[in-house]
Amino acid sequence: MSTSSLLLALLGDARLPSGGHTQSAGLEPALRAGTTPAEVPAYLRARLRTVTRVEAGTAVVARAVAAEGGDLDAVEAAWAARTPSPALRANGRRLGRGYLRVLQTLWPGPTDDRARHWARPVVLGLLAHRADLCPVDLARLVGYDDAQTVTAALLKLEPGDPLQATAWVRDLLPDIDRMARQLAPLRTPDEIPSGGAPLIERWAQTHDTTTERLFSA
Amino acid sequence: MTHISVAPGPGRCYLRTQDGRLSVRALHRDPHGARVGLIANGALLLSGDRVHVEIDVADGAWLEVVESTGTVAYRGEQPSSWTVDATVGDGAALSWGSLPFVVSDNATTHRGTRLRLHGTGRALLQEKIVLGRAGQFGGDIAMSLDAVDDSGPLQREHLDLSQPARVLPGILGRLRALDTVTALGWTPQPPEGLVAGLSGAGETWFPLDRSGSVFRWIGGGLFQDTLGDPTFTAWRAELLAKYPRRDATPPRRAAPQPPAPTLATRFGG
Repeated sequence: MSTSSLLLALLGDARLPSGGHTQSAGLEPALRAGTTPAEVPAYLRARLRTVTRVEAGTAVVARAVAAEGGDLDAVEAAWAARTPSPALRANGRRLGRGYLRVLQTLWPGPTDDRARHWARPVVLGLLAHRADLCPVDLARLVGYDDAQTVTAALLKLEPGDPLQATAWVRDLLPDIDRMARQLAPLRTPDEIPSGGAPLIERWAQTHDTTTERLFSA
Repeated sequence: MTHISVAPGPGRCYLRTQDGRLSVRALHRDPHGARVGLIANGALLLSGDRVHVEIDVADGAWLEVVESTGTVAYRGEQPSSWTVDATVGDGAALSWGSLPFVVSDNATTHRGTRLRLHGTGRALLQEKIVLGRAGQFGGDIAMSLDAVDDSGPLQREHLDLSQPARVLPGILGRLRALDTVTALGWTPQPPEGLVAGLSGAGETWFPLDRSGSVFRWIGGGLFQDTLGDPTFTAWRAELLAKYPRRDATPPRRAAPQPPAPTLATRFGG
């Protein structure tokens, strides 16, 4: 097993203290808007085609730009231009700060002052560069983490069989792997996918104004 | 290819046009800019049709594009496309309020917009998409927007609204109409009456990360959309306020106006 595989396990572990427990990957507002637990597998596929693809593509490009000593602010700008919802941008940047703490503690090194404002996928790309996580594993990590975030949140919001939820993630693994292989060669901010999900973006905004909620996003 | 370029001129702006699948008619001109109407030369959008419009608004000029009819993307074996490539100069403004674009059953079509803003240039676009004619489920459409200014990307979006993708929860689900008003180069405020809501249908205001605002309504049919047109009208007034115009009458939004005689003649043919 390569180090990259173990790194993938480490970073994909829900016990990683990066702030993931505050997230439902949009599931909480989706359920509130009428999505049923039975539709969660389809919801996972919707995310994988759109917002998760943007996230994974951004991380892969951030890794490549970091490796060449380029400007990660340009990657951040590309991600922000593909993220119309201010609630999702704010959430992504909050998570970025969580991953920055992971990065600075576990793989310390000189970090740009502007990094405190970078979104999670940008910081994750920098982390992958420093920790030597390969691009395809980085994209797998983003896809896998998103699916696990949805299903873990489902068990809190609409308690059901945890093994059923795990089976849904297992069923999605080939799709995550396919996405990761497609995105792994990306190098420049312009190449980052820009798939939008109109209802996910709308729900993120409505959730942001809701006071009674379990998850921050 | 249809081409429209406008630049300020003494007494009257310079307006150069070239007709393609769409013809261009000047509806109003003043020293700083022009309002032009687009008229389809025959049935649009048939299988395999490629409508392309290039726009160049020079520094300090304004251009307003209005459509005379909505567009139907018809069924067919070949995909069709409707693409726009626009450049807006420093201190210039572009406004384009589209009429409904209807995607028939078994149609495959693409609407793409590329926009480059320079300096303090601004743009305002409205796109109304309806999936299916009466009683239809609707064909496949992909929509893309790629907007940049001198500093970098402003908004980049690709919506895959093909049937298998759009029915997924979180994309459109069971909804089949979108009205998107996009302001770039400044960040206008949301319309009065906008309620966040929790159900699938409704309107949302997205202030963009840099300079821009998007209003998007999603629902079952455009007749339910009460805020899209008022939003466009209000943002258009902000966009064009700084240009001294002899004719400040809104072109069509408040109440439908009968087309000018020259247009009516053309439709008859």
